[in-house]
Amino acid sequence: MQGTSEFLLEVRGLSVTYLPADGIRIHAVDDLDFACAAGEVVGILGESGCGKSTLANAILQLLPRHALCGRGQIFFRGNDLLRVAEPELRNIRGLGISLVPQDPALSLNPVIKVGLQIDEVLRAHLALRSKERQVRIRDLLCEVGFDQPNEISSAYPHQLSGGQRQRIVIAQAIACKPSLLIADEPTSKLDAPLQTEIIALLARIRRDHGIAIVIISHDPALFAGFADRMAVMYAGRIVEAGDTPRIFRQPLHPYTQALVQIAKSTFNVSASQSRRRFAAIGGELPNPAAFPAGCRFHPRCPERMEICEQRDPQVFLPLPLQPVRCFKYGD
Amino acid sequence: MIYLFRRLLRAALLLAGVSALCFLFTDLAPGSFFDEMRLNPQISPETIDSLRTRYGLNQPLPVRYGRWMKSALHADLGYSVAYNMPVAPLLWSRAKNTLLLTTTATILSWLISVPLGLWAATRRGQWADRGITMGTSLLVATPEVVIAVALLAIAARWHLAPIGGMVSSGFDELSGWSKVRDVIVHLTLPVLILVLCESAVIVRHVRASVLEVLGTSYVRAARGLGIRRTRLLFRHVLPASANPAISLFGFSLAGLISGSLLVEVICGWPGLGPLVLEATLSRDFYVVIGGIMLSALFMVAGNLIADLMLIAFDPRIRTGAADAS
Amino acid sequence: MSTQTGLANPFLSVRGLEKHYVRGGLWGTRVPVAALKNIDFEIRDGETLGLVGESGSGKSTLARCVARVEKPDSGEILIDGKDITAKPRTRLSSRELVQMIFQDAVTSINPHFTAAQVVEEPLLIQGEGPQSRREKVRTAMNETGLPAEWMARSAMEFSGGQRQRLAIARALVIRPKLLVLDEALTGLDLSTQAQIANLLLDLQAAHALTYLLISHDVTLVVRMADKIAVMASGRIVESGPTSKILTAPQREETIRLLASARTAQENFAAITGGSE
Repeated sequence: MQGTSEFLLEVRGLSVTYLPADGIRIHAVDDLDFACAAGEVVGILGESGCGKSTLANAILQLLPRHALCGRGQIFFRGNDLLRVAEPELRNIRGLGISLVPQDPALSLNPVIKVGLQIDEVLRAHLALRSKERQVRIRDLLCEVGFDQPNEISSAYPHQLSGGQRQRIVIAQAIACKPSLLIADEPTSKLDAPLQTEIIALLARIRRDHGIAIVIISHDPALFAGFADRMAVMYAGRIVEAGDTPRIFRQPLHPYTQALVQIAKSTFNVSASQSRRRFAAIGGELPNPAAFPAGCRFHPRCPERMEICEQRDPQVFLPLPLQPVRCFKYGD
Repeated sequence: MIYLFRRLLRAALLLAGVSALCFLFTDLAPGSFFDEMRLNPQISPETIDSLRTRYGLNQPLPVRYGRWMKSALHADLGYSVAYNMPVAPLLWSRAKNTLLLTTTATILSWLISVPLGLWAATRRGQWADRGITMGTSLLVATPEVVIAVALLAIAARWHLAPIGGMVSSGFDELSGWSKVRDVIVHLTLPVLILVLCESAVIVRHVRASVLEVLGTSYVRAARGLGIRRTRLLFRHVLPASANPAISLFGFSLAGLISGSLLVEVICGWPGLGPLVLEATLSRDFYVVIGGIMLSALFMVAGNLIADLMLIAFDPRIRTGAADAS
Repeated sequence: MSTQTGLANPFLSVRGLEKHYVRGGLWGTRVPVAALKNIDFEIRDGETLGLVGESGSGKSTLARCVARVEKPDSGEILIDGKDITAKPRTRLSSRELVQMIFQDAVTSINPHFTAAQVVEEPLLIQGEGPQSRREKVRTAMNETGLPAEWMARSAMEFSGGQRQRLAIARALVIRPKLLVLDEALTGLDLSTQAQIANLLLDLQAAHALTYLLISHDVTLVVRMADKIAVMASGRIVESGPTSKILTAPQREETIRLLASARTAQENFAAITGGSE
């Protein structure tokens, strides 16, 4: 299926299946649609096991060998990345799209100095002379918030703190000025005050360079004030999407409603709260090897109806620009 | 620096301990060099006793040990009763041959194994990898003796290489270059045996280590940033997978003197191995001690060098992996 | 709920606790680092004390000392008024044994064990027979919301939240009074965190448990703790009932911690149009 896209990044009908050695297929991502315009910040809200990391890796074709990208298209600047040859993909990785991977402690090579690791990215894509690269590295380190770039540059990853490592990984990602950054859980391994700092850094980068950002997280609070639009992911699918304020004020899907409720109830630093129970959703994310029949959320849904147990909801549009997969809004 | 001194001190103590044990065990072994002579009715007991006194072999053990230690520190390792010459030059003349053999074999082994292991890891599961895995398994499982004898038989059968000695009989008449060629030709078989045995082990370790690194998040992250395959392999993967190989290298160094005994004996290579073996069987006391100590020296030095290399190459060990976070 | 009068002994009392670590590099020099300095606090029966502070303030070290995983260099730990600092772990009664739940259930649980093996470990140490062990494991798993049929499942097959439940079951199985929760809710998804937090609150009510809750997440602690102690550089710089800490913080460190939590709350409230 040919075609193109006017978005910077558009995912259409993507399916990713894992075929591990013991043969049980895992449908990590199923018929997924997602888009991000140039300069935009889009958030993907989802919990562990919903397939968000698979999506992030699939975009750059970094999946392990036993993962199959089934039908679907991933358009970047109008070209389908699933039909692009490996050499061209390498040109896009780091230069067109950069992935900020999940755990900075594990994403840096332990035996190479961090300055050199940033250098590697520059060498891979830009034809700069050694001196020019040095200057660029120093600038990058300053930009991500280091006061002493020279000292940091010659440090090894294990000598840096978690927050510092995260900044290095971000520096690597923006080194060649990509058009799109995909940040996979950039703050989940960090303490609360550091989380705010890193989000502020990403916001600043977006402002200064016009880089589009796709930010993936299980924490709704990250998107507040940072993401222009949001998509909520559950069991390999996008179940709701729309402008961030709308999603928070008027969530349509029961899962989104529950998440927002939990976040609100958690974010309440007031005196009358101690020992009060949290709002919560019962049950667990479904096993991707064996999804329930019908709507994938229905076993945990407080508003499930008969139709939910029988059929898988398609996308409805009860409000403009806020698609939602739920039979509450149609059938 | 303090670390280095501490290690050297420990090494010296270790060697002293080995020498003491050596003395003790060799002395405890029944029999002495002169037993055969005693059986010969033509040699009188007085001659034997005077010989023993001459060689200092009638003194009590601690005294002999003390004297040996003192002279050892002056590089005088005693006297060989069998060869009727001082031990040190005797050992050295043979050790040179051994080192020629083992150094050649070790260099070749490493030059072949590292690329091979790397290649196998990058072609995991494919025919090349499976072939290499099976081949190395076979080699590792087969005793060195069997490999040696098998190759010997093949070489003899099809006249592929000389099967004994280091030089041909007309060696001294040969010109300079021909002499070198002669030695090389004689080296072929023993080196081949050693290389086969050593490479198998190195290839497996390198492959395992590289495979592990290939599966890490940081290699995937580097791929995700567009770093090219070759550079990724050599600049990112190889350094991170070096640790086990460096330890193995230490073992290679450690075994430079002692690892080729079997091969030397089977191929008739005039190295340290046959000398020490012969000396042990004939109770040539000081030659045995000397040979063992030389071996121990290389072992200790090899391990020390491996540890130092690890410190030099792995920043985590060097700067103390205390997490700063 | 405390059934003791205010003048009775608190359940757990820590006095003058100190701990030093020695940091040494390869090349010689050894530098003593004081991890805990002169720690004093009390927890009453059935109470939850929240311990907050930045990374490196000594929270985890204190937790481990209280749980007797590490030995303090000086000071006393009293339970029910009795000094147990010197008592070896094997001689502690159920009531005196403090169980600990760690942050990363993935690393604190052996993935090759079955669920039953994981949960029964403390019972094995106490020398219980197989029959009673099985019963207690079943009970503990039910209490933490795990179906008893999963007893034979390998720990590898459990999700992050489920493993944390296993860790809680393991801690509960010997019926302790005091649980130390060292960042036990950190790193979990939002909804999983809410579930586990509710589970802990329910268990506390059902079994009159006492909690020492350590977390860098101030909002969480504020919601679950009756009293809060703020740590910085190895000392407790401020402590008191939660409401008092929230309304009238005294120390700079406390104010700073609360400020960052409040900012996050305000940002969120702004976007969601009001809080719950």
